[in-house]
Amino acid sequence: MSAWIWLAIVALVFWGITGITQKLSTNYVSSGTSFLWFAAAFPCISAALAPFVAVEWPGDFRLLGLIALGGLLNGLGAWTSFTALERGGKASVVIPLIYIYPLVTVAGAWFLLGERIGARQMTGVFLAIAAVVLLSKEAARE
Amino acid sequence: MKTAPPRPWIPAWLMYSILTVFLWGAWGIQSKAAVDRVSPWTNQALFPLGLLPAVFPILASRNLKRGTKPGRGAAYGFITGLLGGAGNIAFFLSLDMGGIASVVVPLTCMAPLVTVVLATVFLGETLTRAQWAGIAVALAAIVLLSV
Repeated sequence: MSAWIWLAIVALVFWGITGITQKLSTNYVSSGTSFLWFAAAFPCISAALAPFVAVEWPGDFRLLGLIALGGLLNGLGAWTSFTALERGGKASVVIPLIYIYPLVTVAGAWFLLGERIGARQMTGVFLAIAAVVLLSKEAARE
Repeated sequence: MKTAPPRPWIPAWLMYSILTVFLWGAWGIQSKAAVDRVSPWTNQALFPLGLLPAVFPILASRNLKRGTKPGRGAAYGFITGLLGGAGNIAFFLSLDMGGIASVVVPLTCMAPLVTVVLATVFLGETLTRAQWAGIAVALAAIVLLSV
């Protein structure tokens, strides 16, 4: 397998563990407090990375804006997902719904980045989404 | 005679769920566009700049003081951020090393697979038949996406 697949699996594992730590955190504090501590970790990661890797400050403000947009989209997404659950959405409905977001990425990557995937990978995309829906069935009993 | 307030045409929770789908879906596209221009390390190091506008409204929230064990909750929240950031780096590196967004995003989106398995070990939760089926489907998806 290619190195990028292994790295994607590493991301999958780390993000999967956050499902547990997030749940443990919200057992003790509000989702807002939990999110603030989650966000506080990111500047710490940046400070830890700085001495060891070449972090180049983009001279172009448009590029800097593009990078910051990532933090904004990710942070707002985390916040809206918490709010969806707080506003009465059942976890068994909200979680599968949220995890269909790759459909937006695949469609956007097709139109905006010109990416094309084969029939086999397209089947994999739909199986991945089906798997997420099946895995989220646990939330119905919470 | 009092009249009931009009029902919203879409429930708030559904609106926020759909917003999340679009925000995270757009994040997947933005990530690929960004790592084509800067290194994954720079991308992650400058990532908090964008988090700031999301943090400020929550700081103004009234329910921040709720909670039974603030220290423990904060620690788990912080660990979540550390793991999330480490996951981001691996995700950015994956895109930087040739992975296309259309494959990497659905692959990493199977993170609930890990959550469900760990929940059985650390939280004592049991798996439903649907979840076992989900694990089998997820493994099949990983094989198809990685070919």
